[in-house]
Amino acid sequence: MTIVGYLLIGLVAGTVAASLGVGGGVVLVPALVIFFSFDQHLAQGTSLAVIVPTAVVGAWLHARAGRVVWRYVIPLGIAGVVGGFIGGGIALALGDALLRRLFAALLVVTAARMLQTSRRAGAG
Amino acid sequence: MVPGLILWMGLGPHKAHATSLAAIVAAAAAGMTPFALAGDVDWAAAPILFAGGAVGALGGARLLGKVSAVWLTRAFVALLLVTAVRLAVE
Repeated sequence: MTIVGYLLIGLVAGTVAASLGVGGGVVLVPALVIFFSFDQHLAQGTSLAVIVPTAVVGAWLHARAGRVVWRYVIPLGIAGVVGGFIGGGIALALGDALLRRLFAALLVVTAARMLQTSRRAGAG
Repeated sequence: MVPGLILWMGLGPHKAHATSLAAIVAAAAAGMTPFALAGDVDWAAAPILFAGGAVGALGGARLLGKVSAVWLTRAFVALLLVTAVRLAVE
């Protein structure tokens, strides 16, 4: 039953990510917390463990099609590694309830940005 | 990252998206590392979530252009807001 639940959550996250252009973590993290009682840290760590192979596959497909501009990937990747370690470290240092509320705030920001983008697309 | 690559580096949207995704691999791997070291990754759940996600992504890409993006976005925005409240009070 748990496996079916995980498959379904992954399915929704993948569908939403591909069709609406939202990061899968926005679905994965709350779903794991609400439906599977993960604590916030475990949910975010697990979500990242899903995002890494997903991004690898996506990037590989794009690279094969010649769309990846490698001279920009290297500086962005280095900055991303630094930012990733700092962000991950800060998240781990925060208490579970605080991290969960910050994540809730991130969802609100994501929602606002999506509305803005869709309005612009609708107007254009 | 994508808007930055388009505005400042003059990349087209497809190249900007692809380049950003390649850089995200490094960022996500680095971000995951502290969690993994702290034991905050469920290694049994992750591959199953990934498998579901791969199928969903293929389906989602086909949805593009078929469903009204505006209404799909609004529905998802509503879901995000409800989820945010739920998480905040959990």
